[in-house]
Amino acid sequence: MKFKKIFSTAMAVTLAGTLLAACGNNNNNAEPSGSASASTGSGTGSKQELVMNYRADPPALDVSLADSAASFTILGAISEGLYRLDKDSNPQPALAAEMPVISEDGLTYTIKLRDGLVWADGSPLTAKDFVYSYQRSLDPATKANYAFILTWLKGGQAVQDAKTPEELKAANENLGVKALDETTLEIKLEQPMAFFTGQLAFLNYYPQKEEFVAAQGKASGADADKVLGAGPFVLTKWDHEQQLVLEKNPKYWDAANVKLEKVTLNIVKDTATGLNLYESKKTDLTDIKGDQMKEYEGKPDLYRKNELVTGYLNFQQTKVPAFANIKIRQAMSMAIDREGLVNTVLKNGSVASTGYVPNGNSDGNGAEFRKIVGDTEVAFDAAKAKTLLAEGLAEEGITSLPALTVMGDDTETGKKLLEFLVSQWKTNLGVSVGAEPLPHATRVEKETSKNYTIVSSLWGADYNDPMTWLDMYVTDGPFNTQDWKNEKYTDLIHAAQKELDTKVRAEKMHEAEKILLDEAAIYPMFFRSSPYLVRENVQGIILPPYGPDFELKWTSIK
Amino acid sequence: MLKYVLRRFVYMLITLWVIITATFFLMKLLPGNPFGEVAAKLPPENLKLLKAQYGLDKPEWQQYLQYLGNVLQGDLGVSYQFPTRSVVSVIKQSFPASLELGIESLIIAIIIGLALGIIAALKHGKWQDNTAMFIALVGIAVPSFVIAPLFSLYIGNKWGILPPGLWEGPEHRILPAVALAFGTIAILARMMRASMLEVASLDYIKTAKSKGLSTSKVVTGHMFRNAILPVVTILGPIAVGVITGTLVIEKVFVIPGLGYQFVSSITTLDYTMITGLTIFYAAILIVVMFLTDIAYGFIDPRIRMSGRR
Repeated sequence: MKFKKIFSTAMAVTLAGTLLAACGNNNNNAEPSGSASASTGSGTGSKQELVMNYRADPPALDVSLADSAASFTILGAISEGLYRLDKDSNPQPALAAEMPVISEDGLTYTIKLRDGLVWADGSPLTAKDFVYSYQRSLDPATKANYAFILTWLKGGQAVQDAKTPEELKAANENLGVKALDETTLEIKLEQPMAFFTGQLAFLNYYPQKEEFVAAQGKASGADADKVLGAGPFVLTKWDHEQQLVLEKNPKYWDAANVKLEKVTLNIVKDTATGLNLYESKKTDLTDIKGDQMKEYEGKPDLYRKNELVTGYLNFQQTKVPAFANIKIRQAMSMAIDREGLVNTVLKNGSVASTGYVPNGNSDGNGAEFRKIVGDTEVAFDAAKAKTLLAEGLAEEGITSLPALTVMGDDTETGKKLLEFLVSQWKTNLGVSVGAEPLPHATRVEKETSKNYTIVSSLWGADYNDPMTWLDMYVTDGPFNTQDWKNEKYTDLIHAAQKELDTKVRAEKMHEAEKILLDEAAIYPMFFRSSPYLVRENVQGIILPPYGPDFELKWTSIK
Repeated sequence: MLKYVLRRFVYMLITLWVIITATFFLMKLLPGNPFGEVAAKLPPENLKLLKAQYGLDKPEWQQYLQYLGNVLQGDLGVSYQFPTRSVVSVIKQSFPASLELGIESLIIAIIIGLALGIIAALKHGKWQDNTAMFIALVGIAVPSFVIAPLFSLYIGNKWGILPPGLWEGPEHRILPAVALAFGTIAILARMMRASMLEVASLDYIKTAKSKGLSTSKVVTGHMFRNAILPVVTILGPIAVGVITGTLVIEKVFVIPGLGYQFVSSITTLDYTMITGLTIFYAAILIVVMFLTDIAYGFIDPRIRMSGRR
């Protein structure tokens, strides 16, 4: 594999997309603050203070080691990359003074940093801090799960594969990141990437201060005093599993435009209590579930966050040879009413899928993938499904399908989803399928070890490009757990990975997705959405498409 | 007496060792791997590497001996889910909230439970008895996952009397402590009632009454002390149960306690966390039972005497 993918499901499952449902009251214009005249709409304070519920305690606030959405989110508030994504997910200069100068061949990025940048402790931040950060993440001794994103740098893979200190030193010298001077950074890539400037806004490309990180040793990022950033806020309190407090960083280069003085995040894992806290005005923001959303339908504080997450089915072809037959896969897929699924089971704003790459995902060539490619999925058609099944069974020389079980997560929604699928196959196709809800860790283990017949799974984008979705299904790829084999598809993906022309590359990926879904190799069911309640006087908060759960830099209390 | 205590102490260690061993091997039978979230999309070859880093590729008996050695040095290991946190630090950080809540709820439960039980026994068969026992029945029949959300929703949110959750000031303690006390109240009330009734029929109570002592003197001076013995016996395990935290109450009222840690460690297969917390739980239980025995001796001199012999 060209890209070693080590992903966290926490991320995959929480990546967010605001592109579709940008809520009217959540614009990006930081209101003139005037804290004296701030409203008292919330019981949580009339000043520039925000209290919010957050569902998870971040595991470690270390730039190299972070692998969960919670860590990305908090680090995004207390630190910063060269760029920061605005409400439309476009990169804006952050620690960088301007947009990068990109060479003709798209391989070399020269980036000027702002003058006089400092860390939150007042020490100077220079281009060297980026070089150190990338080297540390790639160093095999760091064991960074997201190191693969840095192997995009020229020579990155060699650093990660270094076996001895000498090899590591040599590889680091050849690594495609150089501090040309204190404020100029040069980054070289293995191959051109249309989305790379946006990627520089992500945690993996944040700087780290060597002295500070080295002093923390193994405890780096374990507590509030063991993390150092250069972002809009500083972490002043971290009571694990209870509360995090962020306060404005007066040394931040853009402190004048940061309105919030204090943000309190209470770790609340029960959505019912979260809603109670919201309704009794103890918090300004909470995540809710589908059935709680109904009550808030049409109200101005409901915020629907459309995520870059697709829910889909895999049919394992080695355990069930019948699934190698394209007609049988199509029949199993066609028998499921996706509209019914999102409207009667999920009810949380998720929409029926029209492909694998979700709405809002870029095509790697400046457009939105779904808008270009359109609907590539088989349509719900019970009658046609029955015909196809009969034909498929005849082709395979069998009279009925073997015993089938659909495996999925044992969450409330996960279980309802399985019940729905079982009833759809029974009613529309006359096929009996058992349901097997499992704890998340067990489901994933059985899925990756190919120990299932049908699995209901979720995948989230790790970067905003179709490749994060499509390279999973190359023949014999590690994520191709259903053992689907298609040479043409594999060739297209490999060609796209090497393609320098972004337009041609995008076209190859369009074609690949069409093959994937024409063959019903997988069956996407829905593009996920998550509902939130955000107090109306909270202005300019962004719930971004993927990566962090929220962006607070431009938030203010009206 | 010293010999007796020593013997008890050795038993205590053996019990702990059995628990450590059983937990360690039972846990290995759980399906899945402890890298959960991280491993969700991990290619098999990387998973192998990761397992090697944590020593999970070695034979189980080697892992076991290694672990036992660490435990003897007070090191319960580092969490798989949160690699920067040791099990000991998680206990230090989560146990105080559970302990405080447990003690508060225990006090509430003892006061109300014993009062209900005594009233019911003294007014045996009358409406007071029926009312008290009805309350106790509700306490047993309605589980905490019903009571806690109802408290949070109505008292916390709809009526706005107390905060619906969070762990800040004293006002945040009341709802969870009462919710947690419910079940204990019921057990204590029923137990106290039965015990009081039994004692009331004994000869020395009849003697006390015939001597012309007032009811209050009979109850406080003679009945209570004898009737409370069986209650003290069960109080030990109950106390351990409430002070080590409960998932539901902690989750609903947003309390940073140990109960949630315990349950989430099992669902995420955080091996070190599961064993570490089990050992901690077992140790507390054993120590509390030991203390209960001593308390028993104070209340009933006959037990102290037999101990000395």
